[in-house]
Amino acid sequence: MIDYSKFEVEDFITDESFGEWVKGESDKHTAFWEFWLEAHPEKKEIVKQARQLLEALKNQPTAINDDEISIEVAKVVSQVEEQPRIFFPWWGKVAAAVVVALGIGVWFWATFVPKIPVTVATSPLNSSTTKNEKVEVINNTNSDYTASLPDGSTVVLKKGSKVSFIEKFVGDKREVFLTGEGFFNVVRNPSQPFYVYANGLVTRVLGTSFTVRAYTKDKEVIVAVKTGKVMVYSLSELKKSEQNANYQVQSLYLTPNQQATFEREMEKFNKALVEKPTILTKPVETPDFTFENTPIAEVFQRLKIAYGVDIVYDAEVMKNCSVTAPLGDESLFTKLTIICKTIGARYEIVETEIVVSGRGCP
Amino acid sequence: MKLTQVHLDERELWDRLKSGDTNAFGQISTHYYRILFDYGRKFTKDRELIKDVIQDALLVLWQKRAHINPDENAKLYLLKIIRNSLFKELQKQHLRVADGQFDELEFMEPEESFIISAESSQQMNAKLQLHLKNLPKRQQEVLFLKFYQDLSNDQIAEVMNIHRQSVANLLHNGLRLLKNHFFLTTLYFILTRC
Repeated sequence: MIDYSKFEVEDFITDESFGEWVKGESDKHTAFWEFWLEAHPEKKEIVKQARQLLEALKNQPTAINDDEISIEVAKVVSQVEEQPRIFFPWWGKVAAAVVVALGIGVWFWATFVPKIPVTVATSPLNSSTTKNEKVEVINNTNSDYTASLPDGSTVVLKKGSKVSFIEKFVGDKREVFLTGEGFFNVVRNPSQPFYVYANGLVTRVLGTSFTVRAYTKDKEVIVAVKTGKVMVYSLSELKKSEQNANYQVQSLYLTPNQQATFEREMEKFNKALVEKPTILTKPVETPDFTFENTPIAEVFQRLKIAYGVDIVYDAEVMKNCSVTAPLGDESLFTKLTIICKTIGARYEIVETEIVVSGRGCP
Repeated sequence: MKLTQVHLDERELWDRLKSGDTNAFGQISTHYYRILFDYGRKFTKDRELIKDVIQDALLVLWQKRAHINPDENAKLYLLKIIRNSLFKELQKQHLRVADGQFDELEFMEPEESFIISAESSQQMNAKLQLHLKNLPKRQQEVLFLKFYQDLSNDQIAEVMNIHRQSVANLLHNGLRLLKNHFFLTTLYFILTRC
């Protein structure tokens, strides 16, 4: 048994059991340390300092953002895909023999027939190809055509419209390129956002349905949202953020019934309601902000009704969050600050909306 | 808080990598990219150089995928490549010099970095970065590998190519210095506010 009573801050930090406790995933260690602290109240301050320091050390800031990483990874992956495929026999001796024989053949061929790039035949045992080819769908019919995307999402293409994408979505992005008009119905996948690139406009969603109208001859691009939440920004903004990791992208958030018009020349956005919005009635209610274990969805709903503001958040991620706080006359922003603190989230104001982001609750 | 946290069946992923699955390669690359980049930033501010070095390291991983044993730590292997290649490159550029003079290498400025964490710990983090910068460079590197990269002392010894006992010493001394700086200034703030 280790005698922890002589431990200093630095000793605690490097202690394995202490580390497990701070991580908070082990009941055994939690029980031990809570018990130990009760027996050694004089160590409370040192332990508190060790905890603080250890947590800060573990959460050191990163110098690269997710978008930059996916760009770099995509570069590496594309390099690999351009290389000739060589198989390594890990599945069995028979295959090994085949590959070795093929290899010798290829070596002879490569040695005696120079200047032709080497390609290695794939073994018949391996049925799947990993070459990720570009797929292009053009609707040459006179009516709408529904194209399926690799992830199960669909796009209804108008006559003469074109969509292109790679056979298999690689990395942490789903990317498609559109010319013309298409109505997208995107399968929800928060870990792999869906991007539509069209005439200099980038539309980013997690899962939703929306229309993008981007005909080459048009001076503007229109994105209209039917369900879900959509983020749009210009391609030049995206490029700026790729060059400078700290760059804050100027973007627009759209909710159902809203549409964005992007003027290609000026690179300017206009946000408006769609042509035929569904009617929203405003119920009259005395606001009650006494929350007691109230699910986060209801908390935001009450704020929405009371203040007539839109609060954007990921209901799926935060579905387990609830709030207990007797709120009353505070300003909206004070309320939001308190609520966000209790559920470990934060909020920012984008255009006319409040966007709350967080990692959810256990 | 690291944003890219890929939770997946690692064994399955490595098997797919071995069979030449570029999708698996992409996922593994994404998984390791941030820690490799942040490690690289400990030695140079040249982001493009770090990216080049990481790209080469990942390509080596792809080329040698058939011989990689997933039980052995691929992260260690990659960290070592990054460290060695960066030293080589920096030496070539005559800007920075070899391992022995590591102490002269510059560490990144805290304000350049992304601080992705809860608001309350943000202050702590900024303060920590400030104090970390004042530590001897090798101590900083050990602390980074130990706590940000979650490596054991043995693994750190392997990456930095030093003795295990040296790691323990660097770690202990670094933490003690850091503690003194860190909590002394807190005390100072409290005193001045009273």
